[in-house]
Amino acid sequence: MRGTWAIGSLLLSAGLCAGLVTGIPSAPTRSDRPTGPIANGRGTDEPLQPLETFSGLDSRIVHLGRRLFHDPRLSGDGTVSCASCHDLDHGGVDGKRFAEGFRGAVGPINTPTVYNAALNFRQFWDGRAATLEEQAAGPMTNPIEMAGTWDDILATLSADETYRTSFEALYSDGVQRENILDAIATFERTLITVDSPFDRFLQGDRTALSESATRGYQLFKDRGCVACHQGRNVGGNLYQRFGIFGDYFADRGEVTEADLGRFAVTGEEADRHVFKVPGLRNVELTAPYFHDGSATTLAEAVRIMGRYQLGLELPDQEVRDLVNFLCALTGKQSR
Amino acid sequence: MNLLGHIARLRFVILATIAIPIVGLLFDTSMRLEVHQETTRVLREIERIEVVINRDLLELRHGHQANFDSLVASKQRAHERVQALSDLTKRLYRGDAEAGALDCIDSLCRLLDRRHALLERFKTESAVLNNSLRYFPDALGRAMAKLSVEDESGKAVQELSALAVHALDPAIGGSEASIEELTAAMRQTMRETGISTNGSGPVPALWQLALAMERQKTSVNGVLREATRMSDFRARVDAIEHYLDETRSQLEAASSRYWLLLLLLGVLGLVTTVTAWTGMQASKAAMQRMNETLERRILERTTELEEASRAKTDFLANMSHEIRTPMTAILGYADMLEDEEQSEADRNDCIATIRRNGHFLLSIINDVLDISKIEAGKMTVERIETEPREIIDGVENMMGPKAREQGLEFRMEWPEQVPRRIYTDPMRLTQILVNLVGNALKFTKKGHISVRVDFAPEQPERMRIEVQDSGVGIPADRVDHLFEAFSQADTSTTRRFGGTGLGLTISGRLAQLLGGSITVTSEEGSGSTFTVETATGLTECPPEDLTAGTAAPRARTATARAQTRTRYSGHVLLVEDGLDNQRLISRILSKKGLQVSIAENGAEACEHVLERDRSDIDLILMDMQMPVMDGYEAASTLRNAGCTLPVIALTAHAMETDRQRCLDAGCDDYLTKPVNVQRIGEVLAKHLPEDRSSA
Repeated sequence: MRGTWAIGSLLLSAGLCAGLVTGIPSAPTRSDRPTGPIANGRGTDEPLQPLETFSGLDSRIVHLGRRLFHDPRLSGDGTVSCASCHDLDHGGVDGKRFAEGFRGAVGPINTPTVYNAALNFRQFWDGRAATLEEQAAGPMTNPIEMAGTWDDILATLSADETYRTSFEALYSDGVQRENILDAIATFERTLITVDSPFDRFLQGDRTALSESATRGYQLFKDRGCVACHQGRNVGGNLYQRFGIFGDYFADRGEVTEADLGRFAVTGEEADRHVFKVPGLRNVELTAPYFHDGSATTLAEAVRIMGRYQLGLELPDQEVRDLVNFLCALTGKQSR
Repeated sequence: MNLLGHIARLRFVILATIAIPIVGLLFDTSMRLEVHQETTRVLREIERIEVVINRDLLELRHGHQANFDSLVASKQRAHERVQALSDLTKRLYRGDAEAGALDCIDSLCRLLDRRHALLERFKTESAVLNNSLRYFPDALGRAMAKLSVEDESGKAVQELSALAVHALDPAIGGSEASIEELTAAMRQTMRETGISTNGSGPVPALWQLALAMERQKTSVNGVLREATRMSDFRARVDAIEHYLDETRSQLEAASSRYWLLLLLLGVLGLVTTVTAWTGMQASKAAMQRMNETLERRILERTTELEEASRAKTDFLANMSHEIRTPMTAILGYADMLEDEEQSEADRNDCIATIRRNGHFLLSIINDVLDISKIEAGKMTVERIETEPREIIDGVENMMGPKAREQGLEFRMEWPEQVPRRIYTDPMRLTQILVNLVGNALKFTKKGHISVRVDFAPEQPERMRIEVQDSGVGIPADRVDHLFEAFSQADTSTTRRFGGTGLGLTISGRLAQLLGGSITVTSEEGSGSTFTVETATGLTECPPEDLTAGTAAPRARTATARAQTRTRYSGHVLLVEDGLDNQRLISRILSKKGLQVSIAENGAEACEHVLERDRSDIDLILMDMQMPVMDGYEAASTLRNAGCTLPVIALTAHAMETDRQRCLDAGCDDYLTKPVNVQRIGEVLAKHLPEDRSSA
């Protein structure tokens, strides 16, 4: 009896000591953030860089995320999925001026593409979300987008045998808000449109671009477009004011809340009409353009950009060359 | 002592109770140390990343980086570390130093947030600048083209070049005044040379662009200066590390204290375990010893019991033999009595033999009763006034004739003076002496038996009586066992000399009960001497209480014989269920001239006495053990009914307690079976008138 006590207490102490030395094993966590393509802006004069896919993504989670992305049951009335607006067959956008969501409700802003969104330094036009996970939660419960509630979403997914099995296999705590967002974001990280003609050009294939597109690229750099639309995603890594040379909003008229840009987030006067510079990859497929969807063609968008951002009235030839260059940014649409 | 015992018993529990909180504290301390280390690590990482960000900023500003991807990635990493830091602060708690560190970390996080917001401004502003820088060569080309046509002196082109150099040099910033100066100079030259300077031409556009660039440079450089200022950052990091160092040294000290305590407890636990173990071994050994002792004792006891059992078995075998022997004689001679042809002398011989054997049987049974009483501790003795001389005379009367019959000399030796009376149990003392003399008679073939009384008036409390014989003696090795129950010196002795083998045991015990002892000295072949020492119950013996040691034996037997022949008149109701006893007792009573009626049991007796005319019954002689209604109940029923007739109990129970029980039930007197004619005579004499008429 005494011996048992002694051994027991010794074991207890030993166990605790061992715990101290080795450290308590941490509980399994959500899929670790994958290592993205390493930014390679340094040591090269080339302001644009080719795309690379993410590595280290769990294909089972990707599969689960893909299912969730296309599942309309995540919405309030079971009709709207993420893919309803972010149509992967149409450049990851809906092709409409403003997003249309729950029961035909029309949103205030143009749908940004989900392709290469993982490369954006922030999400949404005003950059209010830091991560894809944070972003994904927005539309799902937005009353004019998917209009879902977390209670309903969790109930629906828990009731679904295959979802429940998948979640329980992949996540220690099963069907949970964080796990749903993680799966969707993980899937979205696979939506990198590699292998565009321009990327092949950057990688040394001088025949990949037409003459016009090659001139367009030079113009893109010479006219200063590349000062903002730069990096891997040809944009998406800084904020910029819309209307540096001239007042775009005064000229367009009917200033809406969506036109305030980052001002709506920070409340600082310096951020009025400041937006996240959108990436121009696949821009050929994502008309209409700008946050207000006001430019229906690329040429129109290029002209407006020249006028308000560069202070230039671009001649038609330059606009054609620039448009041809931009069309060469269309990559392989993974889905 | 009790408390110490509890502590000793619970020592492991106590040790564990102390150890567990210490382990807990140690655990907590090391967790906190870990948080500290983690915090320091994260701080170092943040520092490193911020340095990288600064380098990125400078490289971007000077055109060594072509895009913001690196800066964005660095900023993302920094953001994650800041998040980790603020997560860690949730695990840093307690202590003033840590509170200070928490404040500093909080302040650091806010600082980093501001700095990271500045990075966004830098990106935005420098994008605009870069935009202009990108476009500037183009604008310069247009202006040059125009001037190269119009400016023949080349002076304006020279000034334009100076302006371009000024605007494009990233190192020069914020010199709007210089640009304005250059522009004014160029405007002057152009006017002098007759070149158009109106608003929308390429040259004015260029100098507008240069001016805008210069303003933008001012803005970017301002942001850059602010963003790259690291002194606040370093001050905060230093403060945090200072606080953390302070706490860490405290924690480490505490940790080593706890380790020391734990080590101490471990040693204590080890010592306790070892002592407990050795204690266990010791108690095991003690237990083993105890078991061995017990086993040995059990073995011994078993042997004793086996011996006792064997002795009892032997005894029973002896008893059986002893009882069968007289029974054989009684039955055999009883058969012979039936033979009509025997002479009167032969008949008398038969009757004598039957009587002798009957008496012997009775003595055996009396001995067994005595020994069982003694064994059960129920034997009691009286202390009544007794004349020593009377006792010795009684012995002489009983045993003397027998001795003389055997041709032995029977001597009585008296001291000069013996006390007139002592206080003892005369019956038991007589029993002892008769026993000893009986033994002497058994073992002595020739020579003498003497009974010597020894008394010293100076020692009045004790008296000694020696019984000496000239018999076979007792072997020395048997002397010690002489007084043990069921043991004769030799089992063969019994066969040679007869007897129950209980006499000495009973005598020895009785002597002890009388406050004395029996000792024996013996020499094999030349005789033995048994000395009875008894308490006299006297404390002093004045001369007037002393008397001479010689006296004539009293004519007791004559009296007894006279009584047996006495006849009585009256009507006796004999209550007895046994047919033989009915007949025997009826005959004895009839021979004494009495009229006898018989009742089968107590109920019949009550009926007889109470319901018939009772005047014809003078005495009731009643057996105690009967069916239907026993004697006790019958006696008390009669007494309760007002019957005053003498009731004499007749019982086979020979114990003193039985006598008392009979008297309590209402009996007047008490007779034991087997019935003794003489004793019946004595009792009848007490309760019935003597019939002189037919004597």
